[in-house]
Amino acid sequence: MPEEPVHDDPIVSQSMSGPLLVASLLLMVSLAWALYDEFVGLRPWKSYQEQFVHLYTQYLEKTTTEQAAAEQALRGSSAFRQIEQRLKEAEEAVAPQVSAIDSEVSLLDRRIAILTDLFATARGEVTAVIYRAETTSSEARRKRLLEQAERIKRGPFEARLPVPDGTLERVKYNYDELDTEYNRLKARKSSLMAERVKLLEHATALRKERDAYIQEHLVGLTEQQMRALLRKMETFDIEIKQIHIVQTDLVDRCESCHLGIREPLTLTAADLGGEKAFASHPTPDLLRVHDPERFGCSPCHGGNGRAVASVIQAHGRYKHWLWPLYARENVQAGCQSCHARDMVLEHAEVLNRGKELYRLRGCIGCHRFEGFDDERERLQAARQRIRDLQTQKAEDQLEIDRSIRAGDRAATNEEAQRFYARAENLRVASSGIDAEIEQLRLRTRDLLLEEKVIGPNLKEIRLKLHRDWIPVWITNPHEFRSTTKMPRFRLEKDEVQAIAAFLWQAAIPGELPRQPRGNAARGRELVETRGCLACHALGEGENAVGGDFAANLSRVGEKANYEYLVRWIANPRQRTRPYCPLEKRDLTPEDYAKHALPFRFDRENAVCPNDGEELRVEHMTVMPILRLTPEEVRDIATFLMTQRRQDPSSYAAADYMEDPGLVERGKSLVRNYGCAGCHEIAGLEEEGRIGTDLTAEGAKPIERLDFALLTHDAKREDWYDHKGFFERKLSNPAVFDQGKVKEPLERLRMPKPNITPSDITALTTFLLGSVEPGYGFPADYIYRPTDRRRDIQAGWWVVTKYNCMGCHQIRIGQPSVLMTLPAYQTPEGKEKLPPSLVGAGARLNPEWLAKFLANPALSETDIHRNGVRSYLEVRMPTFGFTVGEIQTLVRFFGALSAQAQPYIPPTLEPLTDREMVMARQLFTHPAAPCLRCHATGNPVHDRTVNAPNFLLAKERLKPDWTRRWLLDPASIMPGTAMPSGLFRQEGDHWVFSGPHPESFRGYRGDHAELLVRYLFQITPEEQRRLVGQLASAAGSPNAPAREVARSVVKSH
Amino acid sequence: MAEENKQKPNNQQEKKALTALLDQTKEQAKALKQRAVEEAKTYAEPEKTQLYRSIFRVKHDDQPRNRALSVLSNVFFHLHPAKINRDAVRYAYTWGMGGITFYVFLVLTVTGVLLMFYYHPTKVQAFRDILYLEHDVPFGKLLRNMHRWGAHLMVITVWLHMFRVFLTGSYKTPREFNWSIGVILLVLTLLLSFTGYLLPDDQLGFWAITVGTSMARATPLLGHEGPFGPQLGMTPYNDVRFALLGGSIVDANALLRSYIWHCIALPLVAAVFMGVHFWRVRKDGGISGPAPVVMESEVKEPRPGPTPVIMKPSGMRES
Amino acid sequence: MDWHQLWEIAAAPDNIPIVALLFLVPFYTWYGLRQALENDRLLARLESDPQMAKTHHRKTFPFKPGWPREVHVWPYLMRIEFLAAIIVTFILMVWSITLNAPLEEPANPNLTMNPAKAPWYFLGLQEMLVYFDPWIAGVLMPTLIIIGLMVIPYIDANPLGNGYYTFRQRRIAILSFCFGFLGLWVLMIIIGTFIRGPGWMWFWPGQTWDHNRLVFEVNRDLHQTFPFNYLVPNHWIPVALFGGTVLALYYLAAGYLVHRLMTGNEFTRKIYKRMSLLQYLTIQFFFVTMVGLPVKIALRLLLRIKYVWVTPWFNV
Repeated sequence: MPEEPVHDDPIVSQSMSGPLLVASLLLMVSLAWALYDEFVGLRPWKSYQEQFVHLYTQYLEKTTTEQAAAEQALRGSSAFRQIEQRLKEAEEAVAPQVSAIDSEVSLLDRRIAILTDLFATARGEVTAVIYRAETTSSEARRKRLLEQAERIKRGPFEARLPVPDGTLERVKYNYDELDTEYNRLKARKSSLMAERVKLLEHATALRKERDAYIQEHLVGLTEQQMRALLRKMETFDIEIKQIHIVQTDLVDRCESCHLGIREPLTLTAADLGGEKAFASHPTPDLLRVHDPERFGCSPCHGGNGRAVASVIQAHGRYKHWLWPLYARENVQAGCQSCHARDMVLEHAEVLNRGKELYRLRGCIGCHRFEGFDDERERLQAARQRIRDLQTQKAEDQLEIDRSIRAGDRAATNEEAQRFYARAENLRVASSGIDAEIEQLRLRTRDLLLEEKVIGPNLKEIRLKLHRDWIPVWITNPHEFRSTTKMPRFRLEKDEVQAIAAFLWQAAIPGELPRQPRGNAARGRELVETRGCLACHALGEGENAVGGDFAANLSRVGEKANYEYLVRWIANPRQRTRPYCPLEKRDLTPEDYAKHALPFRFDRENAVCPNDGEELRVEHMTVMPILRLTPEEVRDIATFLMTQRRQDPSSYAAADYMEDPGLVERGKSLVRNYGCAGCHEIAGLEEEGRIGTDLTAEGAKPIERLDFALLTHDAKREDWYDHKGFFERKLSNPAVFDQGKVKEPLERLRMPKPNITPSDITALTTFLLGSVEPGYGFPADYIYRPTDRRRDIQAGWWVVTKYNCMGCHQIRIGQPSVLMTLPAYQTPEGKEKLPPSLVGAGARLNPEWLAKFLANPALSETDIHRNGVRSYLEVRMPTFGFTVGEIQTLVRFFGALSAQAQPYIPPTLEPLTDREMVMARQLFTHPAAPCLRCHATGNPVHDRTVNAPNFLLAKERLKPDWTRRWLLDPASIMPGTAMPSGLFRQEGDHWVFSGPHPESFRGYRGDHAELLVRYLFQITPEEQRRLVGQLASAAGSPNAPAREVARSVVKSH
Repeated sequence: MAEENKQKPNNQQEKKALTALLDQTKEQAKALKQRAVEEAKTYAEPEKTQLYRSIFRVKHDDQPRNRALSVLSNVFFHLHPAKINRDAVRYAYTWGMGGITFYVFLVLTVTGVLLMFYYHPTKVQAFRDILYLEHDVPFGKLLRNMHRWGAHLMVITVWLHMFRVFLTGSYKTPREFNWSIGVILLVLTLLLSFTGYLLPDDQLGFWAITVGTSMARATPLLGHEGPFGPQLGMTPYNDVRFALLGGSIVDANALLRSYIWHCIALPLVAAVFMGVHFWRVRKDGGISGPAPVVMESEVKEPRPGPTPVIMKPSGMRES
Repeated sequence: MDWHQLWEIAAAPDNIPIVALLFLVPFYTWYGLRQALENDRLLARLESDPQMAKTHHRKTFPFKPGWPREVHVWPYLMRIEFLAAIIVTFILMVWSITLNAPLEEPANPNLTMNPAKAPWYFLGLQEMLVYFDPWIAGVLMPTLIIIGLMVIPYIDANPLGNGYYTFRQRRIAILSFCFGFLGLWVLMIIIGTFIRGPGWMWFWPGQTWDHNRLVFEVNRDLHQTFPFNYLVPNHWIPVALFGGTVLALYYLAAGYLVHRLMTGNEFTRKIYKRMSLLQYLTIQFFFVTMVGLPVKIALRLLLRIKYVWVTPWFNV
């Protein structure tokens, strides 16, 4: 019997619809929420895009009208109307023919259309039948089919084709006729089209010209282009905009919000309702070099290119994302990741500054960085290799003897032969080894010379410095010299004393020969004119004048010893004693005496008498030799001694520096603080760098950066990242010792660098970008050029190492230090500037350049002058480059101006007698008296000149450049004294713009070229003779070149 | 002329034929309509249709018998008995933890399968795939979150289920064996969760697994750091940890292994044990209670031999 | 008090389950025990009133004659199951929408996480690593736990409390299970999550997790502590023997106490009689071993004792 639910039974009677309903509703809500989250919550870019379309359209509408107006104005201009007019005429001229062609073509088109159809059907039918014939087995059937095909071909195929008068004509073809007719029509059509193009050629050219005119003269886009953009906005569809680079599987969706980045016109936040995200890329040039379609965004900028759920996500600014977006001021860190090997980089001034600082402020002294000043490493590598080779050689030798003996003992003849042959081969091999060893020796010698350090050699402080000044300096260098590179160490008083004492007593004792005083006033003049100020500065604080590459000289007088200064200025590289890397000590005269050798060491005598090791025979300074006369040297030294605020004697006496008891402690301190990283110190020459290698510091796991007790503040205050660490560490290296209790020697050792906040940003940028390959970007993006761009890379290291840019302009738009000095602002001053090296590679013959760099005097005897521009007071110094460095520089300049390697000078055919006469007349033409400004080697004459001697041209210049120079010097070197417009173009060749001398009548050759050929074979005698003429002919030789130029211009 | 005369009669004949035909079709149409309407009426009660019966086998009006049948004749419901202890439907007794665990397991299976569509267990791709899931796959984030949180939830519910079963002494005769199976299922649940941990191939999973498996090193006899392990020639390259990871460190092989354990092996095993578990619940007489309480005085002295015997107190039904 | 730190731990998405445990476990414990006590009261009444015992339906739930003793699964159970499914789905959805599953940096074998924690449900075992060698904490214990759990039905000779909540009838069983589950498993997990910071060091709640924190503690082995350091010669044989004996003594002592417990009152004695020797010994073993854990923990935390039993092959 079915039991009925009892109604007072709660379990049975109680209804559950209520709870069920509520629960289901909740579930529905959660589902709705999920949907919302998916389509809106996680897709903020949608609203961005709507906003952008709105704002951008507004902006475009606004600007379009403006542009339209501007364009209209332009179209109104006479020039434009002219072109338009000409265009119209051109078109009208051919209008009838064109229209005729057009009508015929349209007719043809209709006919072809019909025939195509007919022909296609016919062909289909025929081929089908033939195919069956081909594949059938029975011969009879085959014949039948072929006949059938023939029948079909016979047609007739009928069609009604249009004819010019608009009616239709009925035509009948058989298959072949049809075929030919069809092809004929097609041929006809194409020929007509070709004809049409031909007719309109001129018109098209003019149209191009017209559009070009608009493009050139209109700032920004044309109205048409703007309209196009507007249309793009109308049809804009809201979707993720992504760059997907397949081979590296890179996905960047940055442009889903940053929609203006690649717009053809420059958009600022202000243009688009202040929304920063919409602004276009600040440096479009960069995008041109790094096409986003190939490089994406995140490899340079960091961030999580894939994420679009929120700004924080996309910018990768959350805990577990290793590659957050670089901060605005550090954005160039992105360049460093791929361009670590470039010392100087376009568009990356901050980064460049960072690298410069890393080197000049001596960071490199303690912190190794791949590629930075690695001479010592390469030196060790080379030495190691030499040792290996020697051992191998020794083994070979043994083996040789062994095989010879074996050969002697050999039973049969051929066996003996075999052994002897073996010995022979080994002998050859080991002679090869000798060759390699020799090469390596040369390399080590060069490397010994190339290795430089920031700080002076402390072995010579006894000769160089005023004793009592030393502790003052060590205590706080920045106080004595606010711009010094020397960082400030956190030293206790007793530490300072110990260090000073050690350095003092470790230094080479002795006296320098007395020197007579010179003329201070003359000295000052020399310092200001010879070019010292390209690296050094005079005056303190605001009124410091000069470069910051080297020390500020304003207080030298308080510390230095006159005799030492004299020696130093005369030859900064001159050592008191040579250093032997093998014995790890300076050699004394005794060492030489032992082997009955004179105590002489220089680049020629650089071998250790004790062990034949390559010696260090020069100071590790980049300061060059200025080839000054002894008088000049003494004058400068005397002047420098006057540079003082207080008298040296006013420093507290530091007699403890003589106390031997302090030496040991001092030495250990010096070692602990890594002084030997920047200075050469007796007994510590081979000390390694004490700091961490920073090559990949930017990629170091944050956990490995020791925030010490500041960790939690850092996390709370949100600077717990690399940027925060670097910035704080740089501004106060002791910061992470805060609150820690440590023994003095356990404290953080890094001294306080002497840098400004902007410098800190630069260095931080540099470090942030320093990551190992592939860290957050595809490894194969790294910039490793193999062509001449590599020469440029390599060159910059040398150029910056020796501060060539102190005197010379090398990059377009980069002023040299001298150019910025007040003395060189006036026109006369500008003419005293060293030559700009922009395009030097195109100008100079590489062989000659190499020679010049090795010896800028271009002479062994007469050295106290400039080899080329003898008229300049600024002196091109002798840097004592090694062969390697010279080669690098030469290739560098060649590469900079895209010269082919190697350079093969073109051969110029010699002048005929007639040409000789003509050339001479041109050369001495009153309208262009070359010799008035160009040096001739005649001292009287050269006092007034401002251009190099022609006798150098043959060796020094490249003919094709010289020709271009003659034609238009101003475009090659703006502001040059060389007058432009000396020649004017006539057809395909150039002729002199002044009145032509008689002899030129009927000459069809190129005058400029004629002159070039003359210049490349001019002889000293010739020149002397001409000078003589000139002196007699021209009135005052002092007429400045410009007037000459003007007279030339007047004359035509 | 003549032709016209001929045509006329023809026309009339044609007309007649046409009208006849017309009427006929009208008739047929009406009949068809009739039939359609009647048939449509029958659809008012779908449970009478063949289709319905073929699926549900019996018709379900609210008759006690059919209530029973609707459970028994349904492949999904037949885990249940037709009728149960009236108080067993109270939440207070069961806490519903067993059922919820099973349900979560189903949810995990579904989400897990979907996740498998987007995941490659390789060092190169694993992490990338997770990013892909998070940023690209529609509902990918939700999917992944549900899977992870579901896993956590399942662990909790399993524990609570065990706790409840113990408190109600439901493991006692005749359910001893099923309890043991439950314990195995508990272990399997933990293992499932553990093997899933490594799959994103991020620091969290990597180190969790490293810590977890490093214990295996110390297995007595079988681990190279365990008691008597070295003596038995255990090295990092042949001990039990190596077997677990397919290597001496957590690497590509470990990733692959945990993937296969997680997605294939363990779920299968777990499914089998679940089957047994549920089946035993039924065979051991449905869920244990709420049973009538038994007084100490009702406990009979045991017969010699370990197995305790309980007299049936009044009011207790046959099970 | 570093609330920020506390919040950081509690709010970490992966710790949500533990936070949930903090509430769920106590709730259900209370929920279960409450019913147990109700049943116990009912039992008391029945014991005292035989008449009632004959007629009463013997449940705390209401029952009237005429009410069906059984109800149809469909709909009365199904609808609840359905409801449960919906609610769980809802919870899961909301949880998944609001909280993201953690995804950290790509795996990096060279960069150790500190603290490197096992999945939360194994934190108990990881915690045990502090007190025991890996082979015990990581291998032996899990095995014992599993076996121990599985044998429960076969060693619990108490016929009562089958199918209903009761405390009075199963004091020992329930207390010891709660001790194991709540005290040794759940509690350890909570400690491992909230207390154990970098370097697996002990941080009180609200103490800042400092990666550089240094604590000084020397843990000596039992035989090195006074007075044994004088008594036990420093050679492995005596040391091993000493440790072994201590352990043996512990087992004997604890075993005795457990025995007292299990024969405490007349009812438990009754149960005790029902047990076979094997059952009894198994109980003894697991019981004593389980109690051993807190003892060892105490030794370590309070007396700084590392090992009790030191042998060349293994240490306990």
